[in-house]
Amino acid sequence: MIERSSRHLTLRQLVFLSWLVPGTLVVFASMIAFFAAGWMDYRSATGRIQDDLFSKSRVVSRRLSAELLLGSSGAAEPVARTLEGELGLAKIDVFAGEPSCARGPRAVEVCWEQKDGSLTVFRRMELVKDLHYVAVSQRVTSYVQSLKPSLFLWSALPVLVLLGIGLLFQRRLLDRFLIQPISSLVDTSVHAKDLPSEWPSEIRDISQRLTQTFEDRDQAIFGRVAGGVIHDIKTLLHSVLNAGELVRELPADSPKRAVRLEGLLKATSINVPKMLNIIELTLDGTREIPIRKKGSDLLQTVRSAIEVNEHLAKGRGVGLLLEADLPTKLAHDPIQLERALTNLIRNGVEAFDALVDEPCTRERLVRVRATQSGSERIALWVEDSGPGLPYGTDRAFRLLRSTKVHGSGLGLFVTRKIIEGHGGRIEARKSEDLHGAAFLIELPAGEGVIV
Amino acid sequence: MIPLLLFMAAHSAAAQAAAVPLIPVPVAFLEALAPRDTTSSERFRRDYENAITTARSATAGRLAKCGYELQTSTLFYDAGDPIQAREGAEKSAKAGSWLIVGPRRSNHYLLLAQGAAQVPTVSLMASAKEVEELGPLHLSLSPSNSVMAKVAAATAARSARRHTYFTVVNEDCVSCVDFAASFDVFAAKHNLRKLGEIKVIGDLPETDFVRTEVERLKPGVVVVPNYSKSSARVMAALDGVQPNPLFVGSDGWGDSKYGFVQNGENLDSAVGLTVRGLPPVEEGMKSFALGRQIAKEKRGEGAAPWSGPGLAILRLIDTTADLLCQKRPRSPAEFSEVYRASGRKVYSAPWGVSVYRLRKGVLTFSGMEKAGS
Repeated sequence: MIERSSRHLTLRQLVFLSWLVPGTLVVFASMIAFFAAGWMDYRSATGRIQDDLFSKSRVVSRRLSAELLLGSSGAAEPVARTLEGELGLAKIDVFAGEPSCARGPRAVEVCWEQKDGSLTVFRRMELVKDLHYVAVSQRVTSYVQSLKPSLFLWSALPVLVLLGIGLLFQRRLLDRFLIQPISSLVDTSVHAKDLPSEWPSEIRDISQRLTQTFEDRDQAIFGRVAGGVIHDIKTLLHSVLNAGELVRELPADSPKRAVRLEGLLKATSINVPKMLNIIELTLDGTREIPIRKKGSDLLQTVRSAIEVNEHLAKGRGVGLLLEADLPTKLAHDPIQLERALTNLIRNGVEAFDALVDEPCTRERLVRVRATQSGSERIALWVEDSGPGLPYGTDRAFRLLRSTKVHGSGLGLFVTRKIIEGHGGRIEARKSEDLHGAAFLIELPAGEGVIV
Repeated sequence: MIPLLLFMAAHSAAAQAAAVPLIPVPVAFLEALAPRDTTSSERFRRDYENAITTARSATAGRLAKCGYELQTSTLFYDAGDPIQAREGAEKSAKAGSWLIVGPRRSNHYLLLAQGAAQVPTVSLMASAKEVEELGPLHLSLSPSNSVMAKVAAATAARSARRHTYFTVVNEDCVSCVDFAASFDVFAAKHNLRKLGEIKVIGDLPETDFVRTEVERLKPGVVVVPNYSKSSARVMAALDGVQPNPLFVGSDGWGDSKYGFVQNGENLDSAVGLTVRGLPPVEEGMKSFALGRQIAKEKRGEGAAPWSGPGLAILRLIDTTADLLCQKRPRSPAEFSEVYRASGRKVYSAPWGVSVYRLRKGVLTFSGMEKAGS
């Protein structure tokens, strides 16, 4: 079963992220451009107003100086009001003394200040007897007010629009030429379909290589399965053939012939079921195994599996031990689960065949334990004190990985199918106390469990 | 024989005179021009300079005999920048001018007098009372506003159908405000009743409120004692007001040659009168010897002056030549003393008050009254 981890990102998400950083930078840069353009526009406008005020202040200063020099005959106030309209000024003032911007060690002829939304230029009235300044003011827009929407349209918006179009275009492009091909890569490769011509050449190469690999693997698997199965069946057939030869060697009236006939029958009764089992296993490896659950005594199923292997274990000097914490009734398929347990127990017994040439240093033992694993799961352990799994626990269930002298490697593969068909899981480990292989089966407690 | 002897005597005198270096008498002329009215300003400028040239050439011989040579300089400045009158006067005073001939407008002339406080100055047309108060070194050829307002009030009282009046005066014109105040004094003596007054600013004042008030009050007389552009605008704004008032102006409406009242827009139905310190050129030329001489000898455009200011320049230079030859000052300081003692007598108001009628857009000379009468 293929698991999708929530921690892993999809290709679409990665493509989006690949745009996220540069896109964010572009947006940020365009906003900076917008505000910078607005600032420059504001400074430029303010500068123009300032220059305009400088020149107008000179005109106003001279005109009002003439009125002030005429004393009481002058009309400074009405002339100032008229000049406001003629020159487009917000305000004209004449006052005695120095404005704040003009104060300093030396007399200042003209200065300016900006506050409260107005720009004011102060110019000294040179010809007037006492110190007088004329102040001409003009309203100025603030920096925020100068950020015209049109400025945004011309600076930031085109960038954002282009970015959006680019994203959209790239997404469609990638979707059509990368994501979809990758998504359908396995399917196309497995079914050896014609590759769409629009796929990029790299993906077409990968697909073709995958197709070849799948075909080679299929061939290899077929070869290994066929080889293993044929070898096992051939071995068993040879036993029957040899027994038959032994019968034919003797004449029909020989008194020893009956014994040899008995041997032939025995060889047939032992080996034919084995051959059938191998054939059954092979078929199970290629098809769905139906699991028919019913509330049955789990311990009975375990005991049945042990009993099937008693003869085999006795012949090898291996002890079979059952430890059950408590009796349980579990909804399961007793026949299939017994097959799975039988296989595991037999593997444990036959594992000691690898130690046939080694001195016996510890007790040969295969132990089956049934325990309650939390409130929702039942744990079954099949452990042995044999040599352990040489390929490592993570590769135990790979097809055709077997250490048995006689074995096609289908056993663990089919066992896992049966356990997973029950909604459970099986895991290979090293036994902590027996120091051999350990297989942990966890089955869901579900309905029908009676403790 | 006798003619020969006379010729020899005259030649000898001229030779003697030629041999003695002439005392240069720098006279500076300062006048304002309105830069926006380029055509009219350019004609005025030419006429002004022609008048100076004509007067100089007409008096050169006489002055040379007296041992003087008139040296004139002319400065035209922007009428919208009146402080240039003061600056120009300071410059002319520093340059050693004996006499500075100042601008027509009273505002400008007052500033000019500030810039050349110790130099004799004279204005061609300034009439504000403040000009009279400047002292003996600063004079004007024009009668005062008080004198002109007296004549205007009397004439208006005789001419108007209804004896009520309303005043629209340029607040930024010293002479205009002065005339209006003087008119109020003399109008009361002629039983002219004042209904109200509006102060305006600039050459193109707002006039909506003026029309509203005049329509409401229905005065028999509307006093518009302003310069010609402003006066013409006010009168045009009141075109069609019923009953049609009599417009009364001061010495700022201009004349048939220069100004905005003569042939002004929407002034065909305007009826009015104005008072000036200058008569028509032809009349004025008759009143002094040099004028008669030039009128007789030189005819045609560009030769004799054709405007009031030109006439005034002719008269001014003639009077100055007489003063120099009579009093024989040798330096600017001596001339100043002579001017201080005799100036008011010889320079002031040679022509009295002239009355002009406005009818169908044309200003026509109506008569003259002596100053003080």
